[in-house]
Amino acid sequence: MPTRSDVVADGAAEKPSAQRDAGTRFRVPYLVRRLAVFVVALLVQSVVIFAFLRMLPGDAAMVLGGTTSTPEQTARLRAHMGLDRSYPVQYLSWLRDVLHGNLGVSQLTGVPVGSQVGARMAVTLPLALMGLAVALAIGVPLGVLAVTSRSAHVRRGLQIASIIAGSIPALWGGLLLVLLFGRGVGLVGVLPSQGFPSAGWREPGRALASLVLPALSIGIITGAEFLRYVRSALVDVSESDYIAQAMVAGMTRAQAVRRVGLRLAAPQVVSVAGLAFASMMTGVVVVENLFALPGFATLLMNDLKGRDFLAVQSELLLLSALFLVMGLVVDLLHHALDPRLKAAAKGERA
Amino acid sequence: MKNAPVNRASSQSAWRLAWRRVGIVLRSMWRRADGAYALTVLGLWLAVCIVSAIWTPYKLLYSDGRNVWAGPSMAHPLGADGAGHDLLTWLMKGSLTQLGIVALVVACTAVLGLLGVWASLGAHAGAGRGARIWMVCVDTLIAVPTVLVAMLVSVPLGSSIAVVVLACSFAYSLSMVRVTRPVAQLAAASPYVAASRSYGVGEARVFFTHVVPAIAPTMAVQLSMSAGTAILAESGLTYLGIGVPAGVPSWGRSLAPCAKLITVHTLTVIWPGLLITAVVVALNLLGDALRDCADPLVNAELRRAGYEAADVLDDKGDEGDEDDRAADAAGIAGAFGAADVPDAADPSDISVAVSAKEES
Repeated sequence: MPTRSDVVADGAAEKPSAQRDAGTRFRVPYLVRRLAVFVVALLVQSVVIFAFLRMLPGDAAMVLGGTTSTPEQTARLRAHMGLDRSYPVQYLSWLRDVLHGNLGVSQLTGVPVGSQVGARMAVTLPLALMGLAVALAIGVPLGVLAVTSRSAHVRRGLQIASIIAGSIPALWGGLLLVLLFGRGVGLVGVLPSQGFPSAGWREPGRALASLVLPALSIGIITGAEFLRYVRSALVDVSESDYIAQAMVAGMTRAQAVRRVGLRLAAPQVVSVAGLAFASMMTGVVVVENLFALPGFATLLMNDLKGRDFLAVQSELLLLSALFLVMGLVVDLLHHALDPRLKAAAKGERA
Repeated sequence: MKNAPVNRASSQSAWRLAWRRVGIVLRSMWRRADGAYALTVLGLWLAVCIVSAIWTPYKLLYSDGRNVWAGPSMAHPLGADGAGHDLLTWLMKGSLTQLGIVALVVACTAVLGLLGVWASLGAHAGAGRGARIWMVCVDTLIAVPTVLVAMLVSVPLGSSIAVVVLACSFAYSLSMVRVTRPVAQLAAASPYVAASRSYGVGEARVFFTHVVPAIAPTMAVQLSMSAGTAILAESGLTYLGIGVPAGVPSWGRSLAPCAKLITVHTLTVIWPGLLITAVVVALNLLGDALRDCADPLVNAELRRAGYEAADVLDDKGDEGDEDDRAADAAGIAGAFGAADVPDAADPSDISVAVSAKEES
């Protein structure tokens, strides 16, 4: 299965030479190299995003002008927005603005893209974090149980449950949760199922409550996926000598899998969780829509519908930067979690 | 003198063997609980598709104005939707659309995936740099979420089935390349390939006779999973208004309008979602069952068919000593189309090794 860490693995392949060059201080040049790759990747992606958006038909001038404007009016509007300039000029001016921290102004609403994205991320980031927390809380313990349980019924049952939970359409899962817990609708109507408080996070209680059901509906589906990953990672790992060694040292099989196996499987789980978190930024769009949350993906979709490509390109750039940062975080976590990587570094030093 | 009859016999028996293998795989899947469930649900799906082409309880656009959002009744067994359309009729008609979407996604994913694998194998044809750059591209593009692709594609295409098919096959073929590449590389590095090359066999023929059979089992599993995910994606994209257009029946189209009126019409929500979940579960289980039953290393019956084919081809005629290790290897090679390198990454190897040890 593809994971973010595999993306990173190409860089990791060159690591031994870096260790040899830098000796004891291998971490610094490694980080520097990662940052250099980060900048280059972001530049390449900015070109790709810009070029791709210009291939799409229509622009904001046509949308704003509507059906009643004459070609001259549309052309004037286009000139006013700077859309009549040549593509390289447009690209360079966008790049200059972005480097100065200016993500541009939405042509449809007149609001700066940066503050627009910030307001939306204030919904989507907590939602994704809560979803991830739910998913980990479900996936990891149950994944361990699916390996260590003595009852074959429990093991098989968990596997089947994970397949079923992973096969539920996000929309339907959300609806079922509303039917169970939605205030005024559900059997145990305790949680709000619509909207985000207009006061936002200044009303933390209400804001948090409005995110619980959406986070659950994302978390359960993602958690089922995590369960399968944790399980298969643990099954792979439990064939290893580490587990045998731990059992020789007196642990039961279940203990060995929990204490040693989980630690060995941790890097894989971190990769999967990192990728899941990054793809939640847009992946939660259905749930955002269902629960009427003003999230990032909804903004992106509206801007695309309005052909507001100046806003879209900045938003997509932010999104790909987030993906790259997640890759970096996952990689650093690998180093922190995998004692073998540390041992390799020490071995170089000796 | 000796070559001609053997070739004719092998080309004839190759087809018969392929048929037998399909039969064996289906039968051994039927014996497992998950395989039986998957085959039953998928069989029902096909049957409903055929029936709905001939007969449905109501005409597709027949609207019963007095029964808007009606619950289940004799007239409408599953109730009616917000336009007074009979839900059963729409789900039946929708199953045909759904089958079309899934078939298109699977076909496009298979073709694009094979092209991607082909490109990633360039290393062996002496074009290492291109292949490496391609794999970096694959690794980067794979991070692009399906929904995002669909949103971008929907700008020129609006809401259409093409959006679903393009977005899904883009994303799934990339992950197909990722998953099958190790197996493909192993196969491409095998002595069979080196031997074929030394005879002057072309790249395309080498790919199709040696690499494709090796990755076929992995591909089959991946494709059946993609089919399930495509159904989920369809329901999501249709709800967002960039999937199946209004007026075209599909399961997602039946599910989407329920979201707005869930408070009033609870029961109507249940059916489309239940149907989608049941079918997606079936497709996922199909993948699991296929992985075990289509793998000669796991499925002894399939292995035996391989031995017999190997016996026919070699004309050795030594039946009965099947637990001989040499016969085992020949059988495995025969069952793989005599061109396979067993997948070293597959955990099933271990179980086979273990069971072989237990037998001996």
